[in-house]
Amino acid sequence: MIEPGKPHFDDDDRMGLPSALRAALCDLHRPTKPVPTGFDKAVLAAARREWLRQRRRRLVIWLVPATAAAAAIVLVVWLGGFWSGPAGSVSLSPMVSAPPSQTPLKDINGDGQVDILDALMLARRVEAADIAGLEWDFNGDRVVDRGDVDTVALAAVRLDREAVQ
Amino acid sequence: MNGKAHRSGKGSAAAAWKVVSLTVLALLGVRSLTVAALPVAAVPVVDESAVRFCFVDLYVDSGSQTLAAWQVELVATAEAGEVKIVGIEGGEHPAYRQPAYYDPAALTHHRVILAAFCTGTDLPTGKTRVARVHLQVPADAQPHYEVKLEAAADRDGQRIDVTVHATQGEPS
Repeated sequence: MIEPGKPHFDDDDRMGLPSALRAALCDLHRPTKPVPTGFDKAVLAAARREWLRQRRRRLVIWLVPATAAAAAIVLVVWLGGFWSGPAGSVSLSPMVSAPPSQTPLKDINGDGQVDILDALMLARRVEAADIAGLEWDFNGDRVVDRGDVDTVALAAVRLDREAVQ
Repeated sequence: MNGKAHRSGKGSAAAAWKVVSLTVLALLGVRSLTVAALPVAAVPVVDESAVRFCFVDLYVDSGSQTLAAWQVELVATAEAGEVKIVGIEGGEHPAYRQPAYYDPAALTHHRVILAAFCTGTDLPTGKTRVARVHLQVPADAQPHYEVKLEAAADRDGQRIDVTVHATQGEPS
């Protein structure tokens, strides 16, 4: 039985063990060889290596989130430039007017002006699949479809259309 | 020992990510507060008692011809105060029930160009309401409207002569 002050039952003389048996049991736990002096140094070096490894690992653990935080700050600041419009105005929506055309808008029906009649003509050509080439690819997506019709129609209703035609 | 170190590493990572999350949230919070604060300074406060809301119906009369496309400019003015366009609604005929094309920049201004077309065969003839424009006007002012036809076409895409006019209405 282990009791306070008697860390090993071999030292308990109340067990009434014969002294020879007790000595033999104690001998079981004695080092058979002397510990080499270099062994402590090796253990110490191993401990130091482990400590350095842990330190590097902690550094990496902090470095990655810190980089992410810096990127987030840059992103927020960068987005801030888009959120704040000129002259104190605030625009949270990117769609404030008709998008600029990729190519100059054309007078599709040849009447000398770009208006809703051009959109109508283009829409009919698109619906009839009567489109050859990318002459009317006004939004620059390499296909002539309803998106180009919308581009023409939105150009026709722009308040500053004189500036774009 | 390794398990403890591993737990310690996980704890550090969690703490680091908490710092990142809090930083991003704080930045977004500051940003949203800034954005929320700007309109107060940039946009004049509307005194609800000083304005009222009404709408204008736009009619196109194409007579016996079918109306396949139309384009109209509307200018709303008032002698006292400022008129602002606040919304665009479609018309009554199925061909023009969807809101017409317009420049979103026209909203909060007094001038807008509206246009629509229909490639279908169910087209209106005669007088038809093609759009409804909602306005904010000074409470004690009577707005004036100028409507100008810019283009209209029949089912063949040929330009046609039509008449346009605007009628003011009050929300019920």
